[in-house]
Amino acid sequence: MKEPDNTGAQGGSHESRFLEAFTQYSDALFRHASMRISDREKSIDLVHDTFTKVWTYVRNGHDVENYRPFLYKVLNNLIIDEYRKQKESSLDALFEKDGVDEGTFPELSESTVEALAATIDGKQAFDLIALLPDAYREVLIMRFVDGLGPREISELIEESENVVSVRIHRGLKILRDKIESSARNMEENRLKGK
Amino acid sequence: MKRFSEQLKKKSETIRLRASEKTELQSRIVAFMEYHPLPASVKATPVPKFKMVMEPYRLIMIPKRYISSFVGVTALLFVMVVPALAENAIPGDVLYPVKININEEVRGQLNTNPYDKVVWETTRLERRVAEARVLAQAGKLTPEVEANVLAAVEVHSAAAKREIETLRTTDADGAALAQMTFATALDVQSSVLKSDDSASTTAGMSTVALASALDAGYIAVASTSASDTVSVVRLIAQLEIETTRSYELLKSIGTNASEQEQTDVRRRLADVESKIKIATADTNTESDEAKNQLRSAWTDIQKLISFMTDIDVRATLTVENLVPAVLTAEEKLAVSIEKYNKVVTNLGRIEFGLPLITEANISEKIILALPKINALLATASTTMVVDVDAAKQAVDEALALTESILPLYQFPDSGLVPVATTTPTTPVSTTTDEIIDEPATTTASTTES
Repeated sequence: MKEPDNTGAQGGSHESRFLEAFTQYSDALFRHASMRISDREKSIDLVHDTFTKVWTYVRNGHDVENYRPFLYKVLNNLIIDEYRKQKESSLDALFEKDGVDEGTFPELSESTVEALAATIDGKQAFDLIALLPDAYREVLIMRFVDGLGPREISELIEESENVVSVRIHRGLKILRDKIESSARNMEENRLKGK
Repeated sequence: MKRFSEQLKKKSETIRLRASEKTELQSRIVAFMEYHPLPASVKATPVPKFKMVMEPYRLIMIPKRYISSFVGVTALLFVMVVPALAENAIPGDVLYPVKININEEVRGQLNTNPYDKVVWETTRLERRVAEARVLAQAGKLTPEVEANVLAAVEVHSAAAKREIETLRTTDADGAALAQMTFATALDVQSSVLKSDDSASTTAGMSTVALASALDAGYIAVASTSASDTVSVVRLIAQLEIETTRSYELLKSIGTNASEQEQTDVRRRLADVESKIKIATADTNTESDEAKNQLRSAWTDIQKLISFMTDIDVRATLTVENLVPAVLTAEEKLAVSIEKYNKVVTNLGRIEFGLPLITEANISEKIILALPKINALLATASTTMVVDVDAAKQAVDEALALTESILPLYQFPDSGLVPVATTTPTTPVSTTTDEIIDEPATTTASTTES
């Protein structure tokens, strides 16, 4: 469920409005970052950087009408920067290899996404989502953890809605494959143990 | 997907900043803000007011139990409350289509027996008439509405006839009984409309057209009904059932009907039973006379049932209007004596005032009528004991003649005390009281004028 954005409702000072946004979204941003980069300390730093960048933006005289999408946008850019620092080449390769802009009709359909998601156990998915390439992990977290719609995600990652839908679909498929593979490995290990 | 999404979200919510981490993070950010305060120019700009973010849709989580309750309440509303409210609807009301197209159709479908179907169509017709009366009383029976009511009456009438014909193929006796019941219903409803005060010519209040249509329908059905043959055995059996039902209804209306009405109904039921008794006492039970007695009993009992079950009928008509009491010989005698006395009183006034009349034409007319009146009185006097029906006829005629003379002149009171021609030797009951075996207490003598 999308949280209501009350950061402009109180009509106080710029500072109080900004701090209200921190109270309201810091946990969600931390969760998002943590699931994306799997590093608690780094995630805290990324959330810190997000807020300082937004504050700087406000200091420069810009208005932020709605903090939530803006904060996510900044955080997402920071995460991508972080990835670039770590594995710049592999990220580029990922995009080239996947060719994510070429979606097929079944992958674009929301109903097929629903059908696919219905076959996946959410608890196992949580444990294995960190193993997904970030392009998929990003959209799955935004969609299912942050509760953003395809249009909002497309605005955040600056891709078309079709691309977002295809990524969600493929991400779910990979996730399911990993869950099945994990289950098979566990079964094999159990048999070997006997 | 919902389950997957819920599971994943629930699990992910375990990831959150610890309190200490959050406090520290906030301190760092606040420190950053203090080191990088807003310039005066920005501070001076007003904080943008909250702007409603227009989104193509909004996801609202509603607990399942609320949805179930909502669905349950909605279903209850549509299945029970709306039909119950619709029962009181009249033409022009929002719920009226629910009443006629859903409630009544469903109830109609529950009747599998063709006889019950005829009864139901008859009831529907009665309901239409009742609605028309309500509208007429409110002055809302416009020509358009009346045309719709007439059309609906036609539809139910045709449906009843159709069901009767269907019934006739399998149960001729049942069809004949249904036909009689239907004719009685038309007769009763027509009488209700005619007696109703609203049956005026005032626009929106006139039910004359409807009453005429019902009359025409009654005449057509009654004529067909008269030619129908129904076995006496079946008629007696059905009368037994209807009589029992009538007594049960009489008990049930105890709180709604007045004492007088209940007494009247009880009296008519006794009349019905005596008609049945006369018919069954006939050695030839298949004789026309026996059949006519039973058919009359059937019609009477249907009218009484209408009186007891239809509040409109009860409010508009008296039992006497609907089912005149069948007088016993003693009652007829008492009534005849009473009328005889009235004729004598009238005659005394007329003869006393006759010499005072100055207008010749009036005197001549009266003088011509007097011998006729005296002759009728003589006939009544002589036949009173031996043939009470003949006496009653003579006295009725004499009374009519005297009452037509009285308005012609201001006749003074003669001061004569009327006396009866005969002394009743048998108990006398009123038209509504039960017959009580007590000796008569009134004695009268004849005074010839």
